[in-house]
Amino acid sequence: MFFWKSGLKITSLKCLWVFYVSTLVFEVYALKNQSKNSIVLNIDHPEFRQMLVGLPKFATVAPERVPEWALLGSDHLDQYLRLAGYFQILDSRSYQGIWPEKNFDWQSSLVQSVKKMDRSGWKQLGLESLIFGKVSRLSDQIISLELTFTELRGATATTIAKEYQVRSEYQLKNTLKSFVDEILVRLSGKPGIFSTKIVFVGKKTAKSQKAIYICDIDGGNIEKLTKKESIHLSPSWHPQGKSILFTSYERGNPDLFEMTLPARVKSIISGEKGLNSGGAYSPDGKSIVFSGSSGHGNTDLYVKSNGNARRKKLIAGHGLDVNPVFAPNKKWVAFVSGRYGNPHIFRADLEWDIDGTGFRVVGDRRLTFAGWYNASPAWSPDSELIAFAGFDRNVGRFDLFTMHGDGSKMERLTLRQGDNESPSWSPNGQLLVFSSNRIGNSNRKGQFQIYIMRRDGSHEQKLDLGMYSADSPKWSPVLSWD
Amino acid sequence: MPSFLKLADSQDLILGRFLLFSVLIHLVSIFVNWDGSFLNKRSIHDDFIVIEASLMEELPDHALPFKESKDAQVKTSTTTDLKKTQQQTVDPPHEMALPKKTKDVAIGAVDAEGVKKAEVAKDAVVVDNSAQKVYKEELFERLMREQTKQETQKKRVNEKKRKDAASRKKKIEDLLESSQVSHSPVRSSGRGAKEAAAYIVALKGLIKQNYQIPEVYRNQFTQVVEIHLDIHSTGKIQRTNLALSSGLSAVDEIILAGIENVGQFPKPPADLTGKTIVIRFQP
Repeated sequence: MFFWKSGLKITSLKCLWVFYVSTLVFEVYALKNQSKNSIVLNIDHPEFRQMLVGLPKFATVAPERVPEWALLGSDHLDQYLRLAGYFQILDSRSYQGIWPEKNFDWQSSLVQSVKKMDRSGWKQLGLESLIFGKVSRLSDQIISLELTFTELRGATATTIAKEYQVRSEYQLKNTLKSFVDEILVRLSGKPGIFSTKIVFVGKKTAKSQKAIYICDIDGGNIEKLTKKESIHLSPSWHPQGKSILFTSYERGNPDLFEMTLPARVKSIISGEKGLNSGGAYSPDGKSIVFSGSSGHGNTDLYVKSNGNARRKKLIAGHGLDVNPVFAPNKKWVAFVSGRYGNPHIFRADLEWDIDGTGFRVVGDRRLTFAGWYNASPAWSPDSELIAFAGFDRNVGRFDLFTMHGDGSKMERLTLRQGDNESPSWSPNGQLLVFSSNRIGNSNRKGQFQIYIMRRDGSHEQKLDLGMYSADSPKWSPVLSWD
Repeated sequence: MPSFLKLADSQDLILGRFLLFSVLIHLVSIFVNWDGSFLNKRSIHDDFIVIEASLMEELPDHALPFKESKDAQVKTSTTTDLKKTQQQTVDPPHEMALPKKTKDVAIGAVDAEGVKKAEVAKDAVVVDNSAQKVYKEELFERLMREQTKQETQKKRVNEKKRKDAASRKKKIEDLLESSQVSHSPVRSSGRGAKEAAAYIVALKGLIKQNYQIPEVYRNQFTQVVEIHLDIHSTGKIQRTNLALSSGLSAVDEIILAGIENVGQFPKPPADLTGKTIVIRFQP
C-alpha cells in the first residue's frame, strides 16, 4: 500500500514536472516571438477621384472604311463618358506612337486582339482602362460597330466586348449610351444614367405657354407631353417611372394631374378649389403628397393614398407649407414652410403602418437656419443628402447647396452665376440637374435653361434644348420603357 | 519504465524543491521585463500617455492645464506700466508755470488795488487748481478706458489661441486613436515610445495622401484591405504583402501602387526596425 501510494506520489510529481517544464519552454518560445511584434495602422476615408480612361479614335476597316462614322462614334462616346461623371479622358495626342496598334489583327474580333495586346505602353500613360472601337460598312444601310472596354489593373480585370449594327446616327448614339451604361453597371454596381430622362417646364418661344417637356439627359429627343394651351408647372416622377405628376391651369384652377408614360394618359388627382400643386409620389408609388389650400390664404400638405378620392391633411401650420418630397428610405418628408417667417426647409418624421400602406407625421424639425430663403429640397438617392436652392443676400442670387439629412454640413455648389434653382439628383447620385438663368459664365441674368453638374458642383454643362426658357427639371429613375 | 525516471524516495525532496523554485521563477517573470528591468511593465495606456505627452509638448503653454499661464505675468507688467504711466503724465505741465508771486500778492496786499489783484490772483489759483483736478480726472478715466480695452483685446486673443490649441490637441488625439498602436507594447524607454508614435503618425500621413480610389468603385469597395509592410532601417520598402483583399483586384492594385508611390519612407526608429507594419485600409 505504501509502495502504491509512494508510486502514485512519484508519478504525479513527475507528471507535474513534465507539464511545468513544457509550460516554461512554451513561454520562452512565446516571449521570443513576441519581440517580433507588429504595428497596426488604420487608414480610412479614401479620397475618391475620376478614373483615367484611354479612348483612341475608332478604327475603320474593310470591307468598307467609314472614317466619318469612326469620328462620330469616338466623339459621341467621349461626350457620354464625360457626362457620366466618373471618367477623365486622356487627350488623344498622348496615344501617338502606340495607336493604332501594329499587332492588332483588324480582320478578326477586336476583343481577341485586345486580350493579346501588350498593355505596358498604355499603363505607362497612367491609364486605368481602355476603350477601343472599330467600325466598317457592311452594306448600304448597315454600319458594323465593335466596342471593347478593358481595365488595365487587377488580375481579374473587367473586359466588356460588344458588337452592334446601326443604321443611323440616332441609333449610333443610343448604342453608345447603352455601352456606357453597361460599363457603369459593371464597375459601380449602380444603374447607368443613359436609360433615364428629364422632364421640365419649357416655353418654346417667348409667347408660348409653359408646357411639360421630356428629353434625354444629353438634351436630345425633346417631346412635349402636355398638349393643352395653358400654364403647366411642377412636374415630378413616379419612383418606377410609370407616370409623372404636374400642376395645370387648364381648368382655370391649379389642379394636380397625373400622366402615365409612355402611354400619356392624363387624369386628375386633385381638383379642389384653390391650390393643388407640388405633387410628389411616396417611394412605393402608392401615395401622393401635395400642397393644397386650406382656406384663409393658408397652404398645408395633403396626402392621397391608394387611389382614395379624399385628401387627408398631413402637415398643417401657420403660413405656407409647400414643396414636399419623400426621402427614398421612407423615413422622412422634406418640405418648405414659412411658419416662422421666411421660407425654410423642414423635415417631417414619418411613421408607417405595419402593412406599409399608411403613414403619419410624428414630428418635424427645421433644417435650414442660414440664408434668407431656402426652397426646392431634393433628397439624394441614398437619403443622405438634401440639395436645395437658397437665397444668399450677400450675393443677391439663388444658389444651390447640399446638406446632410439633419441639416448639418451645408456645402455650396454654385456661386455668382445667376440664379440657380430646382435641383434634382440622377438615380446613381453622381449628378444634379438644375435650372439657371445665367448668361454664359457671368452673373448676369437671362432666361432660365437646364444644366447638369457633378454632385460636387463641378463640370456644369448646359443642355442644348433649343427652348426659349426651361426650368423645374426632374431626373427620372432608370426607365424600362425607353 | 526507463531507469532515469525511477527516483529514490530521497530524491522526491529534491524534485519537490526544484518544482517550488520553478514556480518562484515563473512568478518573478510576471513582474520582470525580458530585458531584466524590474517593475517597469508598460501597458498600452502608458504608451499612449507617453505619446500624448510628447505631442503635447508641441502645444503652446497656455493650452496645457498643468503649466502656469503666462497671462499673470503679462497682467502684472501691464499694471506696473500703468502706474508708471500715471506718474509720468498725471502732473499737468502748466502747474510748473504758476508764478510764486500770486501767493505773495494774496498774503501781502494793503491797498485796495492790491487786494483786488490778490483776490483775482487767488481766484485764478482756485480756478487753475480745479481745472487741474478735472484734467487729472479726465486723464485718469481715459487711461482706465484704454487699459480696459487692451485687456479685453488680450483676453480675446488668448481665448482664440486657447480654442485653436484645444482643437489641435483634439485632432492629434483623434489621429492617435485611429492609428491604433499595437497592443503588443514596445518594451522600451519612454523616449523610444515617443519616437515610434511620431513615426507612425508620419507614416499614416504619407500613405493617406496616396489613398485615392476611382469614384466608380465606391459602391463596390466594401471590404477592408490589409497590407503587411516591412520597412528597412534606411526607409526603403523591403516587402509589401496583400494579406486581405477588397474583393476587387483593381482596387487592391491601386492601393498597393499608392504605397509604392510614396517612394522613400522616413527611417524608422530603432524600436520599429524589423517590425511588420500592418495597414488596414477602410472603405
